[in-house]
Amino acid sequence: MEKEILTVKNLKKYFYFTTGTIFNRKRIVTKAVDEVSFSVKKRETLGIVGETGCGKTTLGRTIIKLYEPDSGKIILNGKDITGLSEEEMRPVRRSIQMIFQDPYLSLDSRMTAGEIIAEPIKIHKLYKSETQLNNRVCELLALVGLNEEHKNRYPHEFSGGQRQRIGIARALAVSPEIIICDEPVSALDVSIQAQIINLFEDLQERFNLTYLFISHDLSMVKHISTKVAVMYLGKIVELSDSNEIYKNPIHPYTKALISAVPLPDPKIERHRTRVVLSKDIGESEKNFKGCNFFERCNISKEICKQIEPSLIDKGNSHFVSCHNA
Amino acid sequence: MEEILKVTNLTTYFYTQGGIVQAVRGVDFNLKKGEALGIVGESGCGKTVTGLSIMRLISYPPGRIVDGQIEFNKVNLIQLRENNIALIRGDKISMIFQDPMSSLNPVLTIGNQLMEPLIIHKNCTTSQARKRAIELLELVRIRSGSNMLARYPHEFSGGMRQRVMIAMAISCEPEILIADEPTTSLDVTVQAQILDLLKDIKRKINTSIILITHNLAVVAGLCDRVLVFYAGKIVEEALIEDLYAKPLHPYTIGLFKAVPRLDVEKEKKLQTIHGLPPDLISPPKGCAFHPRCDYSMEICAIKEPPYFNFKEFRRVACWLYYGKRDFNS
Repeated sequence: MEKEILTVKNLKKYFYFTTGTIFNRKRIVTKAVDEVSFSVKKRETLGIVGETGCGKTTLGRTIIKLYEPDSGKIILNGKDITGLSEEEMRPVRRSIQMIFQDPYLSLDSRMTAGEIIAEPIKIHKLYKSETQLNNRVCELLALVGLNEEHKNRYPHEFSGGQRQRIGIARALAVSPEIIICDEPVSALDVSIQAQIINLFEDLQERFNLTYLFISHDLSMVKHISTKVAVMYLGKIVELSDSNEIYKNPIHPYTKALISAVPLPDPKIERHRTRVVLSKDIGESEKNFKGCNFFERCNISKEICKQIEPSLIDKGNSHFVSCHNA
Repeated sequence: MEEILKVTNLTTYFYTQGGIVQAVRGVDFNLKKGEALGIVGESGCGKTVTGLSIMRLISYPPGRIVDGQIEFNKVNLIQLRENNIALIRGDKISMIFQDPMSSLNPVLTIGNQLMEPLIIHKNCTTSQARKRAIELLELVRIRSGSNMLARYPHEFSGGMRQRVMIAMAISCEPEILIADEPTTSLDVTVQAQILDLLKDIKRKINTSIILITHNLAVVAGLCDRVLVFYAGKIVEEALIEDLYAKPLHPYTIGLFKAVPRLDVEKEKKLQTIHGLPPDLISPPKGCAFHPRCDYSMEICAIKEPPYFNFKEFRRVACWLYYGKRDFNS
C-alpha cells in the first residue's frame, strides 16, 4: 500500500459578513469548511462533489493555503504545514499545485504562454541557464499537447481547451506531487472535456500524481476518481471508494444528487422517479443544532434536529454522517 | 399534429472586423404543435443564433438574417416589420435565456418584470396582471408569490431566477417556447426540478418547446425529436428513440462517447473528438466536420454532403451513407 501523502484534520474555514442597516447590524457566519477530515494516498484521485456553495472550492483553496485556515491541520508528506508563514510555504508549494476553474481568468493576459509556464520555474529557481529554461518550457508544452510555436502567443489567441492546457503546464512546471483541480473542465465543451480528462489521466500515470478533483459533475467525478467525498454546506457527508459510493449511496443527500443526474437514454429517463429535495440549498437560515441537511431531508427524524451526526464508518471504509443510515 | 413553425434555409451572418462569421448556414426544420424539439451542439455551432433568429432578436449591426424563411402559422416572420414582430414576441413565441443571472433587469422588481408582458400583450389591468403574476409564480413553484413580487432579482438564488424567467416566458401562454440552455448554470438537483417543470408546462398548456442544449442527457428526458448542429448546420435529425438507439453521424457518435455515464461501469478511457471546432469565418471546404472525423474520405474535403433521408425525421448529412437505403447496413 502507498502511504498517505496528504491528511486533513478537522479543517475549518469560516467567513464573516455584516448585514443590515447601521442601527441593526447583524453578523453572519458562513461555515464554508467545517470540521473536514480526510486523507489521500499517493496516485489516488479524490473527487470532491457537491452543489454550488457547499464549500468545495474553499476547501481546495484552504488546503493550498490561499486562505488561512481557522483551525485544524493540513499534513503534507508527514509535515504539518498549517502554521507556516507565506515565506515558509513557498518551498512547500513546489509539491502542491492548483489548476483553476476558469481558463479565461486564471491566465495573465499580458504574458505569453511561454512566460506563464516559465514563471513558476523562475520563482523556484529550478533552472541553471536560459537554454535549460527554454527547453523545459518546450518540454512542458509538448507534454500538454501544445507545440513550440504556441510559446510566444498570448492567452486570447487560444481556445478554452488550449488555455486550460497552459494552466496544466504551469502547474506541472515545478514537478508537484499533488494537484488540486478546481472544476478544471466545467467551462469547456463536451468534446474538449474528454481531451482534457484523458490528459489528466495520462499525466497521473506518467508522474505518479495525486489529484484532488473538485467538480459538480458527478459523472465526470465517477470517471476520474478512486475516492469520492460528497460535501454539503461545508461538511463531508459521505466519503468512500468511488465504485462503492455510486453503487451503494447511503446518505439521503448523495442519493438525491445521484438520482438528479440525467442519463443519455430516453428509455430510462422517461420512467425514472427522482428523489426530489424540497428546498433549494441555503433557502433558509439554520437555527437549530442538528444536521445541516435536516430541512431538505426526506427521512429526517427528531434526533436529526437535535444532534449533529458525525462521519462514521459503515463498513468497507464507507463513511457516512447520518443518523438514519 | 399540425405544423406550427417551418424554418427553411435560415442563414444568419455576423459582420465583424475579422470577417463575416457564418453562424447559421442554411438550416431547415419544422416544429409541430405540442412537440418538444431538442437542438444539440457545442458552443459556436449556431444553436442559440437559430433561436434568436426565430425571435428576430439578431441586432443589426453586426448580425443579419441574410436568407431563408421562418414561417410561423403561415406568416413569414423575417418579412415582418419591427412593430408587428413585437406583437408576436413574448406573446406567441417566447424565450428563456441562458443566463438567469444576467437576463433579468436588476433595477426592476420581479413583479414588474412579470407583469410587463401581461399588460402589453393581454391588455390586463395592473391588478389583473398582479393576480396572474402570483399564479405564475406558484406554477413555477415559488411559494408565497405575493411577497415575492416586490423583491429584486439579486434576492433570489440561481434556480429561483431561472424559474422567474420561465414564469415570464410562459405568462402569455405562448405557442412556442424557446429554452436556450435553461439549466446549464444550475446545480443538478435544481436542473432536475426545472426539467420537470418544463415537462409539466408542456402538458398543461400544450406549448411547443425548442430546447437548446449541449447536454444529450437533458434532451433525453424532455424531447420528442432532436436536431444535432455542427458549424451552423444540421448534421443529423432523428426521433429521440432512434437517435439514442443508433446515432448515425460521426460527430453525434463522438459526442455520445465523449461523455462519461453514471450508469455504466468505468471505461478505460474517454473517447475524444480530436481537434477543435472550426472557425466560422472560413469554415472548412466540403463537410465542416471532415478535419476532425475518423472516417473522412476523399470526397468529404471536396463536396459538402447532402441529406440522406431514411424515413420521416431521420436524415443525416454524411457521405458514409451515400447510396444506402437503410441506416443499419
